[in-house]
Amino acid sequence: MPRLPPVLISQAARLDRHLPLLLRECRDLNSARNELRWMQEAVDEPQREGSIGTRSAGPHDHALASFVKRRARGEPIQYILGTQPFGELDIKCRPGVLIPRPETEVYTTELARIIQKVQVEAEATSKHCYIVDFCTGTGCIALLLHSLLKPPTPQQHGKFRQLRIRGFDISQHALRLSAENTHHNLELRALHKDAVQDICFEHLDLLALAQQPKEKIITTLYHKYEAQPLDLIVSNPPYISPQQYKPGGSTTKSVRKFEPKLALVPPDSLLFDGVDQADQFYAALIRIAVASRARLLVVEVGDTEQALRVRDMCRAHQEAWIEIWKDDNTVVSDTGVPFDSRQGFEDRIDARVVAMWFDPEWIKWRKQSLVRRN
Amino acid sequence: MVAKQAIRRWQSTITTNSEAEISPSLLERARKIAAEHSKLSGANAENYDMATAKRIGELGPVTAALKEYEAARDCLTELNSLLTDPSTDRELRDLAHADLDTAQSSLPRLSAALKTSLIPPHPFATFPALLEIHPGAGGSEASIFAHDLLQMYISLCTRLGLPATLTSYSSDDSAPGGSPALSEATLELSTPGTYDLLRTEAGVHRVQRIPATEKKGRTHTSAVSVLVLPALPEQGGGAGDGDLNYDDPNSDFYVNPADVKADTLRASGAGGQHVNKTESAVRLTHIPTNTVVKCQESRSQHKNREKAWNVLRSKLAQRRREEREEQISNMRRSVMGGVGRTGREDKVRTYNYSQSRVTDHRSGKESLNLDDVMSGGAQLEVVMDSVREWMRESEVLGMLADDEAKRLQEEKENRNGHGKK
Repeated sequence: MPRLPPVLISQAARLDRHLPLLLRECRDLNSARNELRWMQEAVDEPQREGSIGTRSAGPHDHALASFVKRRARGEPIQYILGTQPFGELDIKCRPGVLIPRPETEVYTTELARIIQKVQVEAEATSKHCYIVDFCTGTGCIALLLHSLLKPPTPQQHGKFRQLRIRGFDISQHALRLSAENTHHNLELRALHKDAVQDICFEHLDLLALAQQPKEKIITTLYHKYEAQPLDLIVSNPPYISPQQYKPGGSTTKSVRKFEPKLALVPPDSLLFDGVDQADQFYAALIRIAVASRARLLVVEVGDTEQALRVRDMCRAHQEAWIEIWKDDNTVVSDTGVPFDSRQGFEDRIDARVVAMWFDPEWIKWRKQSLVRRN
Repeated sequence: MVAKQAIRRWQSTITTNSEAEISPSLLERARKIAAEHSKLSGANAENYDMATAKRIGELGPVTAALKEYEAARDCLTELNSLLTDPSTDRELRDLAHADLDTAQSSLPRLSAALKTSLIPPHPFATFPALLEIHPGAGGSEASIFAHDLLQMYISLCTRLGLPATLTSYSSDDSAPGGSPALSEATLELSTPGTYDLLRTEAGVHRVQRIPATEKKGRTHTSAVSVLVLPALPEQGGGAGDGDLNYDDPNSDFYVNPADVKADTLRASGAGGQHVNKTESAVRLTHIPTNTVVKCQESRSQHKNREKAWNVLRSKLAQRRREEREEQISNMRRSVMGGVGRTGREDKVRTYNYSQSRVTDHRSGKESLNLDDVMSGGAQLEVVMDSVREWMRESEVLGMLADDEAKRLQEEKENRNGHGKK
């Protein structure tokens, strides 16, 4: 990391004594000021006032100083403050469980919009929706989907009388936290009261399930909801390769030092031959999606190269409509271009999601709506 | 030739019109309004209707002001005729003289009130406001002065008891000498009506002083531009009528989502699980006008996005409004020179530090207490009030110009009509 210019540090110091410390992790004055303000707001009463920088010493200064110190050591602000806003939700965060990222919020919001539309436009009568979220972590994706598909406010009538969302995770920490998050957001009235029945979080070893025969996969996913087809499988699985995770790789120090490796790097016991360690979970997810006849599989990926690898893995399995979504929500659809082509990525905006459509009716609808959009 | 004469004639009416007088066209306008008022009041007495009641409420002030003005003028005529009548006895004459003075002195006030009542309220007058500050020419000195101006407005708000939130602040890290400096700031005033209060501040503010960074003691001139936008309620008025229904394409605040490109700002490089940037800044670009809005103040991306959308709506509405005003003022300019409005590019005020003087170029008001102005004191309000008065006068002149344009048009049509015969 390049050294901070001394001028910047002295300027920061003049504005607030805490800022130079925060600069270590934030790297620029504006984000340091923002973070300081958020920490101040967390220790004080929420202060809505226009004063810049300066403030008087108060009884909370000790708490603030310790927050700043922790932050300067690289600890994520979400672990310090204990939460991360996610859509209209407030997601509790604790060490041992991955912190929700803004990119995830963006595509989850888009995904909810799609699900709502496809249900209305592709099959007018459907009042059911069944979603599975693998590697759910804090539960942020499952909970945000619920808040968007069945909004808590009565005037915005949800389209679905029956919404089922199951979140799976291998980590007991994650399962405890996701259950807490359901109740926390119910208390905040950020979730519809039905969320208690609609959403459940369960323990599951995804890689192990993918090794099972097809029948076992079906009974695992359908034992409660046999009557319903599985509409959507969504997952933000571990996807960082050991090389990227090493010091000097693309994974930042703060992430390596404070967030759980379990949620970031797939295990080195390679269950799928010929598949990179970073991509192990995608192989598992595709097998499960195909076996369970899910209509749509949506996975988060780390970068464009990984997105292209996942696309090719999916192609090998089935005639599917494959899309890659970028960080700015634009869609690069499967044009059948060769494996290594980066066509559609000239703007250097990273790929973030691979969406694999399996249901013929949904594919038809999707193609039409993409044409309409352009 | 005729047009030129008309201008001269019209200008002469303006100059000979003492403050007490009111131009015939404005008077006619007021009478029409009063007639409509009484007609509608009559109609509503029989058949009550909400929309009519609203319109009656709008016309009420003009009607009342006209009534008072006409009463005073009639009284004056009466007194004058009494005085000129040779048969009036002396005692009555003395009384009439005394009354004449009071009547004459009240007339300017009443005619001013009538003129003011004729000015339609600014469409955004009741809105809360967003005040944006951008340094212009002058390098880091401009950024430093931008910060000073921000402090000035914050102090003003504090003194007036108006809640103000700094919703966006980007410091200019390049300013030497460690002086606080900004590259962009937005102050949000949540009190309804603050748009009308701050409307006087939009434009380019110029500073003349020896910057802290200047070693040879030379005076520099720098500029900072101030934008005043109407702030919008978080939620639109929904299905109701009017401008606040954001889904109504006729509303000033309507923005077609297809025209907007949204992205979350992140330094290039790996994202997703690889990094944990706290920043959830949102940037919206309105492609047809290339208007860019950025919001990064909240930890919540969702809130930043809502905020950015609101600011974008405000900006585009302001722009539409300015375009309309531009058209109107062009039309007015074609009838008479000079009357117009000051747009965002115009220099509105100069702060001269060596002379401790603040000059507003629109009203011509000067304050020799720069310190008090810069600390948001009463002197700043005095300057702002002078601008408000200037705006009112330009608005009245503008209305006259409109009437003149209409009259010329009619004259022309009549002439053409005759020509054909």
